[in-house]
Amino acid sequence: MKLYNISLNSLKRKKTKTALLIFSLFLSVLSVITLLILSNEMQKNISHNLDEYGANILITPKTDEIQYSYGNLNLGSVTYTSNNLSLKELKNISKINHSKNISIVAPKLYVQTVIDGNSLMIAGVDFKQEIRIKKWWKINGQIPGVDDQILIGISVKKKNNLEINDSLLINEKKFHIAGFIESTGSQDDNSVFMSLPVTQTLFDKPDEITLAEVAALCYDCPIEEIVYQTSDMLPGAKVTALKQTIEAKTTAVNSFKKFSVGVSSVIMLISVLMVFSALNSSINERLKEIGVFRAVGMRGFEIVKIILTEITIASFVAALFASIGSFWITRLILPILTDAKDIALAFDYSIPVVAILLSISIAAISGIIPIYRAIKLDPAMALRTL
Amino acid sequence: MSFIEINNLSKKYYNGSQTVNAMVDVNISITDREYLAVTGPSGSGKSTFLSLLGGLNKPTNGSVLIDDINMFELTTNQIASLRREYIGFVFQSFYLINYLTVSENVLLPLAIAGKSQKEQFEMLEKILEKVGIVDKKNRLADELSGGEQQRVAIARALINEPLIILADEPTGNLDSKTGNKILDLFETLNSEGKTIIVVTHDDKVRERTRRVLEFSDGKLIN
Ligand SMILES: Nc1ncnc2c1ncn2[C@@H]1O[C@H](COP(=O)(O)OP(=O)(O)OP(=O)(O)O)[C@@H](O)[C@H]1O
Ligand SMILES: [Mg+2]
Repeated sequence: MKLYNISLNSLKRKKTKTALLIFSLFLSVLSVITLLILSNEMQKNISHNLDEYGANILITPKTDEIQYSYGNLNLGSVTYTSNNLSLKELKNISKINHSKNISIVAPKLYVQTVIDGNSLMIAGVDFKQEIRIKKWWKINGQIPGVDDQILIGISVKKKNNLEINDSLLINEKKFHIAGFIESTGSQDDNSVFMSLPVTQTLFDKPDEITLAEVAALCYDCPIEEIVYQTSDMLPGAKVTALKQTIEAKTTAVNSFKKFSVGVSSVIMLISVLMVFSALNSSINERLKEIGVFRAVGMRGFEIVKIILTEITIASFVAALFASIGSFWITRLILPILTDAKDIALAFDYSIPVVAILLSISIAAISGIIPIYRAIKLDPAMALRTL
Repeated sequence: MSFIEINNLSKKYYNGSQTVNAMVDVNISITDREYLAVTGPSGSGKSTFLSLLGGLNKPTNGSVLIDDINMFELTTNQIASLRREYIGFVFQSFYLINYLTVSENVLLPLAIAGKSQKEQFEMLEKILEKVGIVDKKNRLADELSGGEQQRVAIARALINEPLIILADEPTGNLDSKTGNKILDLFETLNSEGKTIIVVTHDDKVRERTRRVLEFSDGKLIN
């Protein structure tokens, strides 16, 4: 017989106690691990959603003369700019190392024109990308599908008394109004949106764009890195990170992080208490047992070895079940929580490792203190407890 | 030469506001190979005396020297090692581990002694034979009668052939035939060179020993 035989027999023959210990460990590890996976995935999801809510990177031509004031675009200067960006060059953005982090690229060509004596801003856009990046747009009518359809801002609609399906002559070409955008409180209210290639042809600016708004996913990559790589790839452009947007996003994600850390800590604490009570439900029996071990001449570390072996085996079993359990639970819950259907949740092999470490530490924290107390006690006293 | 030297040994128990003088200033020399009986009325301190000798309890005062080693100057772990090497302890209430079988209980002192499986098995068979419990060796300690449990406790104390055997009422639960068998065993062990100290109420046990220590209210009166 070896010391571990004692541990094994204790686990095997005190079935109820063992089951209780394993079950409480299982519940603890399961809840902590599940919460960690969920909050991690949700952080990623929130982060991505926020990243795609408007641009966090702006690409403009390199110029000293003209200062584009984004969000409150200066109309006068745009018209006279000559050194616009090239759409072809912009496409190089897909060649940067972190290209998979580039989620949306929305190029724009702004041209100022006059219709019926009113100054108007024409924005040539890629509608698909534009709609994705301007998630706050409320469109009445339809998104333009064919070349002669346009989308108008609310102020344009009011000033010119326009309705959906009306036609509008721009640069001697007839366009139909597919829809209008409800008030945004931005420059968009004063703009007419048409397809980018049509704008380029209409105003004889082939391949030109004024700027591009980019939404980069920066959950696992700092935005500075993406900006740096993009500047490298687009030598003619000025690439700027929109600090304000990024800060707001970081704050939101961080407060969620703090929240999940808080919840995890509370669950950890409850877990330790639960396992503690499972481990110490028969503390007197354990004390007596330790008294016997001492009486037959076992030293402290030998007794600790017996009990730790017991705890470790139970922890392993609990961690194994908890890993499998958390895998299934997160797969069931995540699609509901994140509305993302394409979350590919492969089994992450770090999960069982974390689970085992967690399980053993919870069990050790709950188990070591009473063991220590029992070992400090004179054996005669330990034996009398019952 | 004295093998066990006990000087001014005192033990007080504190029960709340009450103080129990379980052992009062006891001095004895016990030589190698002695066979001693310890008697006295219930509550006179016999078990306390034995647990102090075995280092299971710390005295309030005084010292116990075993083979010139002052036991209470040692650390707890050193006392445990000393106990493992020198002392086999038979408890008044057996203290078997109830989730272990008879064999496993008896083997406990060997689990830490680094003996091979084969050696362990041979020593086990020998001692189970001697206390007459071979047929029960795979039973859980829980499932035994009081007398059987007592014999398991004796086997556990004797298996690693300690030089000193401290036995608290070892025949208390045994019929006279089995009791005699145990006493024969003790006698043989004593003649083989072991020092044996037996707490007993039984005149038959006392008669077979060579010296009697009598306690009354924690004092040695004879
Ligand atoms: N752990 C303890 N705490 C408090 N009092 C104790 C403790 N152990 C023993 N006593 C007291 O010390 C005295 C001596 O007890 P001890 O068990 O040594 O007597 P004993 O001679 O073995 O009696 P018995 O023949 O009934 O076994 C008793 O009064 C007992 O109540
Ligand atoms: Mg007693």
